[in-house]
Amino acid sequence: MKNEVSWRTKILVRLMMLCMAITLAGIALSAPSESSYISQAATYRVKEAGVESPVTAVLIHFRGYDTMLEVTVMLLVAIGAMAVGKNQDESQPALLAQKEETLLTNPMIRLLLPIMLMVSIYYLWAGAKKAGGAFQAGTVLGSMGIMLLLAQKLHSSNRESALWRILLVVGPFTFVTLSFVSIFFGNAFLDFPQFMNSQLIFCIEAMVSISTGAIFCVVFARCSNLSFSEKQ
Amino acid sequence: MNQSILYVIAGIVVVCIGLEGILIRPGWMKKILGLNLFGTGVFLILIAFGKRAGKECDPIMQSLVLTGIVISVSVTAFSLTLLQKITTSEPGAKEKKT
Repeated sequence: MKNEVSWRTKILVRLMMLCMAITLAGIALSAPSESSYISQAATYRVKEAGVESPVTAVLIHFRGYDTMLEVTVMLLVAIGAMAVGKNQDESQPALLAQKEETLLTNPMIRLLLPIMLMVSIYYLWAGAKKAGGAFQAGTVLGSMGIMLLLAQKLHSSNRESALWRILLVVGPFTFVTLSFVSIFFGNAFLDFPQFMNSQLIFCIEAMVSISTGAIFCVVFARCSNLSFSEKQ
Repeated sequence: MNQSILYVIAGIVVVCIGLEGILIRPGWMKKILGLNLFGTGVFLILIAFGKRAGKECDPIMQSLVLTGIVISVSVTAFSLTLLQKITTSEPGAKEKKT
């Protein structure tokens, strides 16, 4: 990338940025200070969603479409990374060239792995009441996978095995399938029946967090010339 | 109230820095980093707006930002994959790196 931007463009872009900043600041200063009707409604009607945390209620129940599409976007990213990203046979050195384990890796993994699993499950469980939820839990799961990958505890192969593919799609699949459940109870799509709200939401969150973790691992592996087959 | 305005203005500054990275600076890596900074600024503005009224942050804003963070991570991951593909398949990519 050698094409430098000319000074005229630079000045123009900076002027536009200045205008945008002034407009945004003006909006921020003149905005009304009370919260909107929609957020008040979300806070007051949170019990109907079957969870105590308003964020989780909005995320999975009130604005379920957003989250469903978000999970689908993540799946698309994983598929794209699998299609575009590196294969093993492209001759590039692996991220960690040496096979032998250092003194530090094994004890560190033994120490960190249970803690990370526990933190992830805690986030999932806490999502019903306070901050936490599927994506936070999934991120911890994903970082766990990346750690194992860097330590070469997860073995590489050319194509992701069937197990990993199932892990990738289990979240979106559960979300879509359970959204259809409400239709059989006479409600609209994604409008979960009230008596089994919390169970459905927990089920969706658990599966979405597994998928999130798997997607992060696969994308990282494809970016870094390592890919998965199975746990050893 | 005053504090959240401060955060909104900080967010606007971060957005401008990110835009500068996307539009002006050469180099794909800087553009990806600029996109990330841009997103971070937008999240900061949204959260500060949500915090404006009352003690609790607006749950709608929080879930919007949560969705946005996940999407921004996905976009970054995919653009890094594409960037790696570009830099390794370019002719003469072995000698010089962008």
